[in-house]
Amino acid sequence: MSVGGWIFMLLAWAFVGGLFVYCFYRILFGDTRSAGG
Amino acid sequence: MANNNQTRERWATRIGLVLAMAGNAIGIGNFLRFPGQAAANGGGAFMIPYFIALIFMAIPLMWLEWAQGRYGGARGHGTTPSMFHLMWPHRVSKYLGVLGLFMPTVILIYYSYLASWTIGYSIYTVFDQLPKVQQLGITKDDLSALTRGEIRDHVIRDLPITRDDIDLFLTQGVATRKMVEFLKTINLSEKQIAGLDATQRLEKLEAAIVKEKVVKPFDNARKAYIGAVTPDGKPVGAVLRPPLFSYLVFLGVFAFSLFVLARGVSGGIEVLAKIGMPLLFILAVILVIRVFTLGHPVSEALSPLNGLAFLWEPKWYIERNGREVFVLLDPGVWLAAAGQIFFSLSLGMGAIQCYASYVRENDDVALTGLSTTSANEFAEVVLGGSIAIPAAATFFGITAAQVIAAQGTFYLGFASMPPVFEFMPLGQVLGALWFFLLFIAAITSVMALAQPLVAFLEDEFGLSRGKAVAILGALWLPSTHLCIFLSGSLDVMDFWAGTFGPPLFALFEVVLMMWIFGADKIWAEILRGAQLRPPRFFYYSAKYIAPLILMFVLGFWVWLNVIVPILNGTILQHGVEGQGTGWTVWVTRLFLLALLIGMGIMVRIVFKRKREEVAT
Repeated sequence: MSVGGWIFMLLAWAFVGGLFVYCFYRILFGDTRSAGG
Repeated sequence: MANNNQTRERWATRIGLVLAMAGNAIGIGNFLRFPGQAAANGGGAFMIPYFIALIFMAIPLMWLEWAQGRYGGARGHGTTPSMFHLMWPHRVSKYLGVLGLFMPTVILIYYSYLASWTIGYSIYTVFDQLPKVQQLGITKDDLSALTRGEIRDHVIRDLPITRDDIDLFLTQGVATRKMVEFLKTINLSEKQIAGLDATQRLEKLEAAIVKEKVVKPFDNARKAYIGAVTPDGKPVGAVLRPPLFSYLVFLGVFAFSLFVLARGVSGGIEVLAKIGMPLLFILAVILVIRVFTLGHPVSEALSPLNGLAFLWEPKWYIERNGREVFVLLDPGVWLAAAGQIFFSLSLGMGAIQCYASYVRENDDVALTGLSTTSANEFAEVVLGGSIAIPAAATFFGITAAQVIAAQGTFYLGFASMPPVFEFMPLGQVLGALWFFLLFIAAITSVMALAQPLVAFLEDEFGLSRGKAVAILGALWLPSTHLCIFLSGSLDVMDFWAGTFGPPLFALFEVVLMMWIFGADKIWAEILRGAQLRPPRFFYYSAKYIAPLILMFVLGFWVWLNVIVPILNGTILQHGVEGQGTGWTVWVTRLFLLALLIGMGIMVRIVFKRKREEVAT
């Protein structure tokens, strides 16, 4: 794979992976208020 | 007759809600449709319009749907006819909202049948009931020889080309009539064949041999599974004849779904999501690890990285109607990207609002909504792109993987993956896990698609959950028989409820919320209880950019699928759904029309009762 391919893939993975980790970290370890109360 | 708000069910836990909503979004398309779309529309370059559509359209729309759902739920309503009417008390609004009942129910009717294929295939794999590549006379060594350009005699036996056709084609570039017909199976025109250089001729011929010799028997097995062909491969015509096993598996999926639904939102759907979604991610990670540790099982020249390269290598120019077009200036690529994002996240169907209606009035929707989006995107972009295509490329080569991906979702998942697994150690176990993974993805979506009609019957008619689920079942079971027995019926339903309907409904939603109900009011609704403050940029995006993208998607889509076929005179032969104009298509269209009108009448009865209650 060319450098361009690696850049596109890693940027896309980093973006969605980062968002996933950030959101679930906040959900699991952030404010513990539950949706159901 | 809205259900008393105090008696409405609630999600038991926040993580349960997030997983259930992620289960709603994550479906078969994440693992099969996304890689095919990306590969066909510019590879890495496809991700530019894909992420633009995600950020400017999908994320704001997701927040709007969550906020609308919580707003309706707080007032005792879980479905869009009443939600639309609450936000726009006009006589038309409730009928526009009917689409948010109609679409999930129609998708449920055919998607539950698709879900049954996945678990049926998982059982088939466990009990070794699928065709065997070895029985076809192909070994890993034959594939290895093929990648070196060595085409063995027994490999081309039973194929409609001879050794002479191959030699003429490879050495002199002469395509005999038989060779032209053979290469048409991978969608190559005579003009394209004439333009191939020596390397491309070998690659294309290898791809056609892999497709016809290795993968086609598995595609025939899939067609036999749904009864589209007889066991000896002959087409059956308009009325399909699925084997008893396929039918019983569907009944099992149907019964299981009703059982979960009857146990309620927190006691059934949430429990399923809490078990199913972590299992889905674990299975997907196991399969990704297995694919990436395959090494070079067929040839030193082929590895999973070739598949990743095929998927991610930016292709800045793609061929459209024989011309090279810059990928970012091609409306088709933008349409594919926006469409993929849209359908992947289950936007514009009324299902998100329904799940969100079970959130408490002051609970967060901003972080929770973004979390489900991120889970879906992770499952699609990272996991979905790293299983089927890299595995196919490792064993069959890049050109063959390209051909397989171009054949569509089911071809990639059901026809190409079984032979791939057969070549792997522990392939039977991995194959069963693969189809079970798809089943989890599908069954959690089935729950979300079933819930709106159940919620409507509970909230608006005051029925108990048991009665509401029974009525849903009484509609669902006979309706799915159209898909089971009528050729083309599933595709017609998918066209109206899964392809055309959602962007149209999303346009109604965004105009209603941002322009009629009031952008500031709905934005305040999103911010109430928010644990994540969405940047103001998304407010403007929801108000101006999202409707423009949706209008573009709808407009260009209508142009391609309606206007152009009318101008070319092909609409009378193919119908707007592209499934012909046979009687099975008309029966399905009439069924859909009757269902839409029936739901409209139900909504009318509900609102008439409400008026009478107010009057007395």
